[in-house]
Amino acid sequence: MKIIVCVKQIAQIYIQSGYDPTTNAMVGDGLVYILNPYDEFAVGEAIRQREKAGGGAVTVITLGHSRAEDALRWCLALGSDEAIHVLTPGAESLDSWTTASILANLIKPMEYDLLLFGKKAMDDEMGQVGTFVAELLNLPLVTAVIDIDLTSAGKFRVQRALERGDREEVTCPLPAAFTMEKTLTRTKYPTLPARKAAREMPIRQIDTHSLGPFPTLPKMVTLRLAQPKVKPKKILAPDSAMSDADRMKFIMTGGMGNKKGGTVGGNAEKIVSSIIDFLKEKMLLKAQF
Amino acid sequence: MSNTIWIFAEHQRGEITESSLELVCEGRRLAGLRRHELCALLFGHQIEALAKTLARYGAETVYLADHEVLATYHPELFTDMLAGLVKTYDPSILLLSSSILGQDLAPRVAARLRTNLVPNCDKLELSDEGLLLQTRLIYQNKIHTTVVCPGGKPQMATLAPGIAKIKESATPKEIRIVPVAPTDFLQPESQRIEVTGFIKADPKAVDISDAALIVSGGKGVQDDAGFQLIRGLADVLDATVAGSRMAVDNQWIDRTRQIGQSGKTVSPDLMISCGISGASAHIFGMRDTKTLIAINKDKAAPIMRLADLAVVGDLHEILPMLIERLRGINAPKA
Amino acid sequence: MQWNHPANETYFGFHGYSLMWLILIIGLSFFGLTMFKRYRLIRLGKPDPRFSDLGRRVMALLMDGILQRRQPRYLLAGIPHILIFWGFLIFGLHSIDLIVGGLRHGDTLPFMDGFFGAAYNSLKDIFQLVVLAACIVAVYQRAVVRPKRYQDSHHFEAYLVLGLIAFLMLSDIFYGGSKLFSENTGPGFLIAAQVSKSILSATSPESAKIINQLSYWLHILCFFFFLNLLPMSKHFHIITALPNVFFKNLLPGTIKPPQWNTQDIEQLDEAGAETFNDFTWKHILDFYSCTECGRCTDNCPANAVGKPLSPKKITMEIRDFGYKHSSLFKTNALTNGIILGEVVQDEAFWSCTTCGACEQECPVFIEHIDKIVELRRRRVLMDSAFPPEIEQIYRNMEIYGDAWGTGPALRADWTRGLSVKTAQSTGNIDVLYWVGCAGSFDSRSQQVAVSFIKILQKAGVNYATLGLEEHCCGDYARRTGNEYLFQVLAKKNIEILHKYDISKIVVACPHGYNTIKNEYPQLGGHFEVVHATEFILGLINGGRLPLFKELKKIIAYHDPCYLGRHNGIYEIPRKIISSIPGASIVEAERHKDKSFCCGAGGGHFWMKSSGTRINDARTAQLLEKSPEMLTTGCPYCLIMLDDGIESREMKGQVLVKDIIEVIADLI
Repeated sequence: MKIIVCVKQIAQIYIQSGYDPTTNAMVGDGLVYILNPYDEFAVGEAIRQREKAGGGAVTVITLGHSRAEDALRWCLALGSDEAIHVLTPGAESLDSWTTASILANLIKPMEYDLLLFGKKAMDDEMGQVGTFVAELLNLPLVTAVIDIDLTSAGKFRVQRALERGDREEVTCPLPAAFTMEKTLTRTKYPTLPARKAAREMPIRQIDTHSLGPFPTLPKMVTLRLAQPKVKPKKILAPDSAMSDADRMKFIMTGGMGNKKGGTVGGNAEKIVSSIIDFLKEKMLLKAQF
Repeated sequence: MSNTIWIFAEHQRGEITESSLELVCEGRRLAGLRRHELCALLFGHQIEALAKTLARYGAETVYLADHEVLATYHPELFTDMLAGLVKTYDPSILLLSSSILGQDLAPRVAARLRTNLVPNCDKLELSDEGLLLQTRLIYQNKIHTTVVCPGGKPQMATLAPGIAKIKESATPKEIRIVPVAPTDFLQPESQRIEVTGFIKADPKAVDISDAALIVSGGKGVQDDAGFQLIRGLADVLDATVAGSRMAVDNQWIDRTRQIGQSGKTVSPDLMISCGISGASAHIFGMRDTKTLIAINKDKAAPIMRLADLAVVGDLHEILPMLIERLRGINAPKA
Repeated sequence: MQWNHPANETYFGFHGYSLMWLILIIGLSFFGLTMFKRYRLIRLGKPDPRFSDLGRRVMALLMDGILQRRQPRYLLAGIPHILIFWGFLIFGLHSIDLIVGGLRHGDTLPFMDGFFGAAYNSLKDIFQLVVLAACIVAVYQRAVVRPKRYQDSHHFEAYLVLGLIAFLMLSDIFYGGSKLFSENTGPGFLIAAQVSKSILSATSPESAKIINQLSYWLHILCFFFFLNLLPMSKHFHIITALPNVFFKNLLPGTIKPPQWNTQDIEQLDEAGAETFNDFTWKHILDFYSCTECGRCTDNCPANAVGKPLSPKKITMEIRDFGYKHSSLFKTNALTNGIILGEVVQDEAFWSCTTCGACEQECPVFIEHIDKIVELRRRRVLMDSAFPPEIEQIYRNMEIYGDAWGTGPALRADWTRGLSVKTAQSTGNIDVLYWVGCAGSFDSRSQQVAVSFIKILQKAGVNYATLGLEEHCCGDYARRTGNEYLFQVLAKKNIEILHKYDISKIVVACPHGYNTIKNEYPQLGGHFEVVHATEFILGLINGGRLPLFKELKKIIAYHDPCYLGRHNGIYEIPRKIISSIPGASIVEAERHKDKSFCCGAGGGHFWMKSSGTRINDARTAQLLEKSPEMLTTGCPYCLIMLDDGIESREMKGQVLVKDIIEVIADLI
């Protein structure tokens, strides 16, 4: 089975360093670049599908700065067969339509059964490149997929994640595009020989200009970047056992507000009745669901 | 382009969802800024009564598609319909909720319409030209950014949950219902996906970060026999078992069931926390709990201040009785 | 009535002389065959350079080989063994004398007449009785006392050998006695012979003569039988122990590189040990030398809390596997002979904390840790099969440069408000303070780092830290088997240290100290490294750190494995504590080189732990003498002991502090 996975290298930023409000750009030391976690699930699933099919190839594609090569090498070490790097030296992060049209033009002439994306990138968290590419290439699309299988009739049968751990089963024909949620099975930690092979594999580099012309599509413009304000809930002070970093995280996400809830005490009978009344009042008993 | 703001309303179990009500209220607020008309879209089966609900919260027009084939969400059909309606009626703004459905549908519609979509906004404003100024959190809640899409027609966004206050309209209008027939928009050749099954989460097997109901135990449980009570209560409530770091260290539960900083973050609708004092690291993992019942012998335990119902007592005495009583209540249900 | 030398008699038509040659040839041939098999096996092993520092090696041979310095650590077994060993050294010449005597028609070796012969034979005789007594004590130890560490040993073999040794003594004693009986005098004062002579006096001269011949031949036969038994049993150590000591590891605390002739792991296609011949020749010599004494397992902290790790068992089982599958001609059974997962189970080697207690105790200097790490390397680097909780740690180290996964941007957060100098903005420093990941990111260890800064500033030291550019030293990566990640981290650190022209480094964490000092040289990083306690003692002795306050507390000091056993620093922390006015030290029974691991090493700080935890056991030991404060010199030990005190709910009663903090509070 031939599978194409589109991956993105994202910058991991920290609260005190990472952006410069005057230039509206991500800067600073200590910036760490990682492969988008959802994209790694996609790569893992692609490799699993190739194994299940007993053969084929997994091609990973990325759009980005030259340092994005590290992400491609990691994908190769995980077991991908081929890597393509579309170089975009200028802009740090392109908006969704720009990215999608470049990818669509690159992928259109390629042969594949399955096209995978991560559900969303953890930097701009737009979560739509996969959908846009599927539209441009007129592929059936399923989002938030956690498991892929093939029916005896040769169609894809996937499970996708709904709220609260519920799942939906969906079928569609080949070729298809999926955006991946956290998968049920995971990638294996790369072995030494895999890392060596990944280091030595040539990566195909392509200039965006050679992929044009692109359709005219509306662009998103960033007006402002700022640090979010602390949520104004009255929170439980994080205790001194937490490190600075965790304390920051704790405060930023608002902790948990003090409630003006009721208290009950007394003998077990009384308590149990109070609890049941409370549950009834809040419509939380199973019989009421 | 008509001066209308469209919102896509979702419903579950015969009621408009909470996030959709937020959406209507936000839509109403925006509509009020520029004297736009607020229209709602409602797709489903036997949902006519819900149009009235939408009216109470400020919708003036409801495009109602009521058909058997729309009883459950189908991505391609809903996309064809929604995109088709937009093309026909040309609203200036289209908003959806950032629910699981919205996260799937909104990008599809934006793709079909070749417009921009800004997801998960926590603040919406209108510029002088009538463009949406969309503010949202990125980089995992570390950066707040405001964007605008000058070329996007319609202006599209999804609204993050918990942003807008749900309040009925002070001046509800007479609702105008526009019936919509799915057959007008059905494009069989684009219907390639088939939804073939639904698997309900099993509280015993589901990941605790997804669980809706949790019963958790900590140090106060004291031993494995005590933790059996936790499991018993979870059983009778059809809830998921979880615990604090103590419970993991004592091997009463597996590490995958640990709530907290070094464990998982949970966001249940209801949590019954037993014998857990509430150290910050634990609270960190359960801060999104909607309703909390805390059972602890110590009334000064930190967790008691955070509980909707703080129960001061011995869980070893309370739980057996509670389980009995709940069993009795649940028994008549087939 | 002088009898003929037994070798000059004729037995059933065979002359004793030819009998002697026959025994000699057969005995030596079989021995040679077995030795050849053992030699072929060793040749299968990978290269291992052990010929450096010959002077030190000879010294080790003398102190630990001949003088058996480690034996008395277990007194009841140790003393008898030393005596038997010295006995053997002495008997060597005598055995040759006896055999040569048989080949020279009764003439002894030329220099055995005269004063030397007299002195030698008197000594030999004394030792014969001593060895006999030692054998009896050894049998008592094995049969009655039954120490736990003898579990899993080949007991039959042990009794057989003790029996053979006793028999060798007795047969020679009676030979000597019967000779004395016949000749009335012998060389020197032969005490044993005198004893046996008086016993023989109770019999007839004919019986005495029979005993003379019988004892001689039985002794010779027993000698060659014993000789042949050696390479087939645990008593091979009799031959291999001294070489094994000579070839011992002279580098403290280090793990061997993945391959001795290739330092850079990126050039390798394979790493780790899966089959028998993946081990080096020295490892194989180790397997040969195991005496099954069990002192290693007896001191293993993982074993003590019930984990399935027994270094003795690992060594024995790999050795037995090697013996079983080696033949004269074919040894390919061994290239496919899988050790990993088959002979040695994963639960066993993953339980190791690399504390070094096993290596500290082993009287023949077997290196257990390297083998365990080699097995781990195979699992991590080739099989991708290791305890799942470690994977996230590896990812964190690779991406963020620290096990916590917090990231470089926050590494210097702990320095806020302290005006800590960094190498990026300060030139010409005297010493670099390597903070380490624990000091940078763990809230408890950060307090220790702050204390150390206080000390450095108070003493006016011209120091700096690496600020945000410090990366994890890589110790845990290496010890859990991820040599690739270790090299990535180490190379990065070495590059940065070179960039800022660093030559002297002070480290508070013994793991970082050990890795930078002893292991970075393998990758080209040569620095002068001192531990914080060494540095502090230097400041105190130099008068740069006057201690103003008193600390009237009873303090127990816990020796961290990587400071104590692996690097020999025991006295310095104690000297520091003694220099504190008012403080007094109590020692846990297991202290200094017998210290018991806190349980964090070898990657265990991050691994799930089931059952009794090592740190709980250690905390209990430290509390034996009811100290008011526990101190140590390692951030991980600190966290583990803190945890141990807390789980006993003694948090307010017994303080747990790093020595750095203790001193910082007093200046």
